[in-house]
Amino acid sequence: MHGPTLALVSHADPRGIVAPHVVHLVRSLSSIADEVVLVSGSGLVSGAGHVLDGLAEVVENQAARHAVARWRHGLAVAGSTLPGLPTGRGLRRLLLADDAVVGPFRTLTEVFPDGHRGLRGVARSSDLHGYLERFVLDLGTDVLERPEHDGFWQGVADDPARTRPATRPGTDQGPETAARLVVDLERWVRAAGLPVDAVYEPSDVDRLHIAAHEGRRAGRVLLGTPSRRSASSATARARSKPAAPLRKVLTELRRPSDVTALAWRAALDGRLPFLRLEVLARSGAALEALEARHPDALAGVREHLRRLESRPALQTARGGRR
Amino acid sequence: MDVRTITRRFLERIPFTRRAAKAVERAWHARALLTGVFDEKWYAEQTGVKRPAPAAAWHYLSTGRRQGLSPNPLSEPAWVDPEAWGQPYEAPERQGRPAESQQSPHPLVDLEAWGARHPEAASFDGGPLAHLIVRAPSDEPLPRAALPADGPRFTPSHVARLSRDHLRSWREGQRLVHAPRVQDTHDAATDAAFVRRWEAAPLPSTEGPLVTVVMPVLNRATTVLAAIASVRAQTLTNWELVVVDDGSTDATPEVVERIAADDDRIRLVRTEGGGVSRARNVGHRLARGRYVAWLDSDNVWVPHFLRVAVAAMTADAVPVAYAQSELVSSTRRRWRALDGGADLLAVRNHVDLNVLVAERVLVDEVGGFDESLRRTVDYDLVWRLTERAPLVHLPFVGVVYDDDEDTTSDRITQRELFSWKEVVRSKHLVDWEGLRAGPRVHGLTSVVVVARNGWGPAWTSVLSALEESRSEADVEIVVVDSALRRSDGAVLSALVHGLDRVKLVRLPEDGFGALSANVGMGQSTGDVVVVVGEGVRGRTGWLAPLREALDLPDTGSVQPLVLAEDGSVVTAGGLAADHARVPARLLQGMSEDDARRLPRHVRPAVADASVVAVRADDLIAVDGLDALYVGGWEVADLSLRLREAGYGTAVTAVDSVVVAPTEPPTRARARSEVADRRLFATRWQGRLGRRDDGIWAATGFDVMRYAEGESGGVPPALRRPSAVLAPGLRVTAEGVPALRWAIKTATPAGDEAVRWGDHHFAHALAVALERLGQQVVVDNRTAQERPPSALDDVLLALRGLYSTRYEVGSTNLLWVISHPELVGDAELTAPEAVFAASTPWARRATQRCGRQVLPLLQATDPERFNPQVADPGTGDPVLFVGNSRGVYRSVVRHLVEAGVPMAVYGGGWERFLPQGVLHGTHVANSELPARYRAAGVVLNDHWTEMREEGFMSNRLFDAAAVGARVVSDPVEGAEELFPGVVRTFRDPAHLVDLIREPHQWFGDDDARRDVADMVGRDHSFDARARTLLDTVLRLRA
Repeated sequence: MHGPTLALVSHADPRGIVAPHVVHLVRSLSSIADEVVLVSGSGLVSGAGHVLDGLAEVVENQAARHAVARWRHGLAVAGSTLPGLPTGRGLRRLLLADDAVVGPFRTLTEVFPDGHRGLRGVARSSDLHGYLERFVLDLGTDVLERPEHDGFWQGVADDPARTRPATRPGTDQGPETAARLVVDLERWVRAAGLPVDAVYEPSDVDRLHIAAHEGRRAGRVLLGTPSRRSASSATARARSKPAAPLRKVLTELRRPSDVTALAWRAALDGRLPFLRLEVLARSGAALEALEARHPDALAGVREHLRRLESRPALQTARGGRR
Repeated sequence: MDVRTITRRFLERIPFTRRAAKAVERAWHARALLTGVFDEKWYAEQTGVKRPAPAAAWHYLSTGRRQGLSPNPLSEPAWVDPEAWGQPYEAPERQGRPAESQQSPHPLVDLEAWGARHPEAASFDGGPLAHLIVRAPSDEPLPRAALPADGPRFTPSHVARLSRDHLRSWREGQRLVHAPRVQDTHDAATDAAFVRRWEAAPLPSTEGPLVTVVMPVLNRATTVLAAIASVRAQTLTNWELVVVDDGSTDATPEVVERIAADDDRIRLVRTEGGGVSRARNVGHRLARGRYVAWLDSDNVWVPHFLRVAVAAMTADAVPVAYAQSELVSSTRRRWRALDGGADLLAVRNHVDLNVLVAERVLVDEVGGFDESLRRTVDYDLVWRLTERAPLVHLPFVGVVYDDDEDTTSDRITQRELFSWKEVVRSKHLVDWEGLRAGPRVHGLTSVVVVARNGWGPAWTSVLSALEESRSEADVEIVVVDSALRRSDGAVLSALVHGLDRVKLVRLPEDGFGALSANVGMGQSTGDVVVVVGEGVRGRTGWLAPLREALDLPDTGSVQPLVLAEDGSVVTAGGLAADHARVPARLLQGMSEDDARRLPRHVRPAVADASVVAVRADDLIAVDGLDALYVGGWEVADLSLRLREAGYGTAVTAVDSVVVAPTEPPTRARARSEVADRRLFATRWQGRLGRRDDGIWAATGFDVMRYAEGESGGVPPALRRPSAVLAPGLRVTAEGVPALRWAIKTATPAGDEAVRWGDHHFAHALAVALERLGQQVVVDNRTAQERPPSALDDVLLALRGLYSTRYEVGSTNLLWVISHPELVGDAELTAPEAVFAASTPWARRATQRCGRQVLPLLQATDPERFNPQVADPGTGDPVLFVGNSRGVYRSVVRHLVEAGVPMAVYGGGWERFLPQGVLHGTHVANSELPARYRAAGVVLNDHWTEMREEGFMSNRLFDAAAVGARVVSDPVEGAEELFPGVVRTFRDPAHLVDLIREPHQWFGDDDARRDVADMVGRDHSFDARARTLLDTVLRLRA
């Protein structure tokens, strides 16, 4: 296996800065990649990119309205310096990351050991019935050498509406489109018979926690009470309803469960190497424990979350997560 | 009160034992059922579960009855409400009630007649039904409980056999309908064994036969990658892939070309948006393989699909086969794995095109995909392939199908109408080629009725057609049972059994209106087909004018005048209206009397009714009704398609009148109706024809414009417009304004109205007003507030049992002709003028409320009621015509008690009169003058209030106008008004005296003729009309 390793980072920050957790992410990527390209889709304030000097090439493309389009742009940018691009055939590995995650909590060499020839992701998504989460991906040589890989990037358009016929006009399909595109990527990799793996698979203990979580959720639905987190707000208390009818309960329980709400447990011991910002924002007291365990990765995250919370534009990554 | 009842009532008072009480009750009922009425074998045939008799009876009472199951073959819950026919068994204390109170549980079993024939049945343990079941001799035909009363009769065993035959047939249909098209479980072991066997099996050559894979694609630049990758990953390597890009606007072609550059087995062909069928046909034309397979761009084959399928097919020389599909969504996995052939296809498509493999020559033979179809093209192809070769099921999963809603919302299956399936079914369930080649019976009219909402509405339509067949010999009726519930289907099947003119066709899966009608038409033989909706009641003679109108030049379809239950017009045809996308309806909401002013035939733009007549050859030539319509717009579409195809335009035969139900549709039906409107509007936009206002001219109105005529439920762009009318400038020959009058009566709607005197009174007055050049409509009480009332210049309320709401802007008149006790003083103040058919009451009312009430007595029609109609003394010596009204009317009772021979005609007298007195239940209005004139004495009486208030009945005027002798109860002014013609009696003895010595009390015939002439002159409807018109002209001056 020859050729360089390329890492592409999708960045979209409403304040136009590169947050500390992104710096940590890029630094980790640069430790195993020959080149790291960060593509910002939101526009950076003057000098914001300097924090990555020496770690990554920073480019902007506000026309790229979702993460996969930004990765594609990064691929093209890297093609000007790396041999074999943009077909990807000259690469040994291609790492794709999104700035919506915090981590890694272990070294990337441990997370993505060298030698995998297929597609790897961090975890599987219950929302996407078992397809990989889209936030950090590792494409191996066999994937990169397939013509479908070139075709995939050819098929990605900047605008979500052009990438896929819009099914819900008027809605922001950025995250959703990215999730669907990554599903499409994984589907052809699977169909071609190449291996697809997730770094993190829930252990039996995790499954017990998930079951308990599901039980509590069912109880809340039955009793019509809000969750502990949402119960903290007066508005949520006002919305508290009497016991729901059975049909509503069943409907609610059929929805895919948000198992990664418990992901911080796996993140504490490093089995889950990345956590989404959205999960951290809801993990309450667990954030403190995570900060103690992974101070480098979590540095500045609390402040970043606080600032984001004060803005209405906190991304709800539908498609990857509710 | 027996112990059981006391116990039950006691237990019902205690909450905790209420449930126990119900159980006790059920046990008693079960016991009663087991006394001969309950047939556990029959019940087991329905449920598919064998139970001992007590358990089955218990199950029936607790569950089966609510599900519409039947306890024996002679009982159908759809015929009589289970609660009703269950009563004899439910309440043992009532088992002994008279047989005539029992309700017949089956249309071919008249339990009342059985009870009358076998009096012991009433006291039989289990009731008359049990008696019939247990004791009925097998060779004794039973009277029918259904119309036609003179229809064929059958023995109980024959009826039971009918029920069983229907049940068997219905169950077979249900087996197909409910065959699990998608299953939650999968036989993985069989799958694995099948795959193992055929993966290892040798192929005819090293590489195996070439398989062409055809893949249409549109705007799926990244999704198509998985589909192509799955083809490239096939373990059978001898394939070629033809990707047909049907006009993608994204990078799909470039993506495919990129992969094709790497694999020469892949070809890209580009078409320009011709649809998925054309794309597949283009791909097929390039195919070189022995076999052809199809894969959609969003699906993925398992790697061994082609290897296993081709190995299995070549080994057994199978020309067409299909495998199973796995459907994966975020919440579950399911499988399409139904093994079936043509019988299943007749109901639904169980074959997924993505796992179908066929020999290329076979596909060539059937002509590939039908490019006129926009959906279910695979269903159509599979059906046609199956007509040529047996379809073989391969028990392994060949494709993994993404069944998640989020990722499938732009699929064809969610863009196009679901009713394309019905189009395919219509193509194959009707032998169109055979119909085109076969001869039709000249002069025979085939009436096609589709039953979708129970047996009742369809049977109403069938009876209407049967009535016509009595006068018109050449009528056949085809009834289509379109997936009726079992009991409804059984009733319908029984009703038509043995009727020579009626055929029944059964569809296990609902075909909606159009497909079902096509299937019915396919079974018909007449040269004219009349498609009739459910619940249509034709007025006598409704069918022949439809057929006759088809002989008019340039006529393709004929519709009748359609009335609502309230008598107002639903439609006299659909009209093009300005820029509206759907047609307006001629005369919608107006009175039937307005339709009488139309010529006999009018030519609307569209036949827009639930009844339409077409020549059979024309209908066959255009492949029948378009099954894409599922909400009732198929007839309108048909009339336009016939016009476009050159078979002629639509015509309304105004002298064919039908009443059709206009109940608000269910929510589901409403959705279908809107979908139909959208389809119709899209298909015919700009092609409805030119706006034709001339068609309104005959009604006396000018069309000002068309406005939005509907609200709610229908998108604004699809709402029917309604004509904004204005009365044309009209003057009579006398130079007075020709006004539009609306006479409001208290009569009910429909056929029942003719039994009301008010009906005949109103129409006679209307004719008289029309003779004065006025335009008149008569509204019954349900149509009193029809929407176009604002067009009425004069509103004349004939006050009977119900009051009227007056119209602002009209000249409102009130004429109290009966029931003065119901008229309050306030009611007299609203109209501009008030009349009363009683001089004393008018006087008193004037004094009482200060409003002038003018006397205007009842009237007669001298054209009908005059002395020339018959010779006196040639009819019944003593005649009374009138219903009993539920009481033994005193004028009749006195004479019966006195033993005076007399003849009574009217309804409701059976329980009062001795034998020989009641001569008939109805006298036709046309016969009435001669009956009065010929009678020795005509009897008359009044409601008490009318007599006391001096309201002389209309009968007095009619009888006096023919010069009859009339004996009446005492009403003020009658003898003075009709001297020598009307005598009133003081008491019963006086009444008998008047009857026995008429010559002594009445004038001779000449004197009575003079009175008759006076009545004809001064008390005619013409005279009353003149009075009313003069009053109105004075008020409007």
